[in-house]
Amino acid sequence: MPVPEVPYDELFEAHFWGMVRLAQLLGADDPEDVAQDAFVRLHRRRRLLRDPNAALAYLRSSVCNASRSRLRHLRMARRRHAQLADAPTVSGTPETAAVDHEDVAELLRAVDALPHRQREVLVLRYWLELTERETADALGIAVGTVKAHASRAIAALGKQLKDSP
Amino acid sequence: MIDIEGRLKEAFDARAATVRPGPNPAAENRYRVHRATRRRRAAMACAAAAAVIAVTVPMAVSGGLPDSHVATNRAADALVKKSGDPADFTGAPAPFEIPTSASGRLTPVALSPDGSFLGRIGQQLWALGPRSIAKEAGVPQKLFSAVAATSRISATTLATTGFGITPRARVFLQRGLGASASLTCSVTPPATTGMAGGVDGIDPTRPVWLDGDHLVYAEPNGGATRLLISCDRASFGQQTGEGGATWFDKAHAIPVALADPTLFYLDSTNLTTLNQVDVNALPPGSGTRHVLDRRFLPAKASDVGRTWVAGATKRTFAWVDGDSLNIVDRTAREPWTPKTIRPIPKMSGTGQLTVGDHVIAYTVTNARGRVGSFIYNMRSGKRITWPGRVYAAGDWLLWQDGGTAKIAKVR
Repeated sequence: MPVPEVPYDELFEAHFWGMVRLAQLLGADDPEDVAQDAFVRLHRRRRLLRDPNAALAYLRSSVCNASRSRLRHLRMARRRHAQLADAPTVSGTPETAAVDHEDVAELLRAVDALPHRQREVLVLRYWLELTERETADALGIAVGTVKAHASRAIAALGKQLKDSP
Repeated sequence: MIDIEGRLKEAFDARAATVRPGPNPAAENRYRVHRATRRRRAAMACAAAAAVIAVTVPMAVSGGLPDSHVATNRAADALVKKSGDPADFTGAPAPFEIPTSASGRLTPVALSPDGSFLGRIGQQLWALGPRSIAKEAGVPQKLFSAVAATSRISATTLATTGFGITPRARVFLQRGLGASASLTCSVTPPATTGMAGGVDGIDPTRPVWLDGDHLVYAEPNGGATRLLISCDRASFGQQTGEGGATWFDKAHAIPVALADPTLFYLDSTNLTTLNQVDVNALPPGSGTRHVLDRRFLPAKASDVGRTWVAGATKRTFAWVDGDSLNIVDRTAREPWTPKTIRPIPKMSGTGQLTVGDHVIAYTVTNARGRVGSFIYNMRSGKRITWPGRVYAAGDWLLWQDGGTAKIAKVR
């Protein structure tokens, strides 16, 4: 049965802030900008809007690619300009009380330290709760590679948290 | 055994919850879609024209004609197209172009009514003024080497107007860890007891206001809006009740402009009313407001600090409300009747309004660092849109022109 077409504005309204949160979790320095650009690219490919599932998959993929690119650029810029401050993490607000819990913060720090591909797999599998197939499609890699990255990431996190005081 | 997989969802949810929805992303998206469409069509038109030329004039190119020069169009990165030139508002002498240094180009960030101004060169903050321009051949006086506050790490930071300069004082905001920032204010010549102190605990999402001897800033997380009577060491950074520091209850007062000694603020419970306070009449440490005057705004202020911004001098109070610029002559006897200039370019981002004796400049910076300005001459009624920062104060105008900065007196 064909899926009814969803107007672009409705897609934006429904999914923009979710994409911003995804970009934030993937480490983008300007998650709103990443999400905005992803939607602009989607707008150009309006035929995808006929299938909202395809549109959503496209947005996720776009956000993942852009966040990875931003992270790479940020790391290169930091190497060149050692005085640049680290991107601040939001704190001191009611919503961040949970993040300020030390065990949660410790786990997030460990995730931040993972290679970006492993981090992406964890975010898509455990936060968005995508299947291995959906994660593979979003990242443009094989299902076996998703499994391998997930396994290595969990092992690395386990070691990091076990070793920390 | 640590159940990491079980904890990841909770940890990611906690971090995702730190994303705070901002105002009207749909409007920003419509603007971006429109811009992308326009660029694509322009690119296609150029490609088509180039294809025609390539087909019809191959011999001319090989015959040694000079290559066509495609100038870098900085306006393509701006929020508005150029329409007019700020120099059109200025008189003799000709605009002075600030020399760039080996460290990079200067980005102006604040202008004083006496023509002195602050500018960033890389990570350094510099102070310049007519005196240094005249006598030192434009060599700027280095003010601080510390990292200047403005950063495009986040939209929150861009909402901060973190710089101020008056004939005697300079102020700048420095981001700290997380959402905190510190404020440093100095006076010149230095007070006999020493130079400025810093104040921690500034809300970096709110502007700071500096005029005359008064400095206004807001504390983060629901703290008070503080007003310092003087920027010198004697009272700067003083706590509640000491040395002339006083404050407003932040729950109600949103400062929007300062024209010493009048502070303009909105009441967050009533955004249709503009309040004015004589800061000299405020008893220190009490939080008491002595409202001089209340004026009704033609429309409720919304998105204050972004698309609703204000500025004032002793003679003028002005505000931008989305696509209109509203100007009030504060010295007029008749009831407060704003003059409305509409439409002004709709620019999505964080706005700043600076008011001079005869010129008003409205500059918007978006999340990607793109800038656009609308300039209005109150005497001639002439309007200019400019793809760069513009500041007006006293009878001076300061603006970015491509990779340089220029300053001149308004005629």
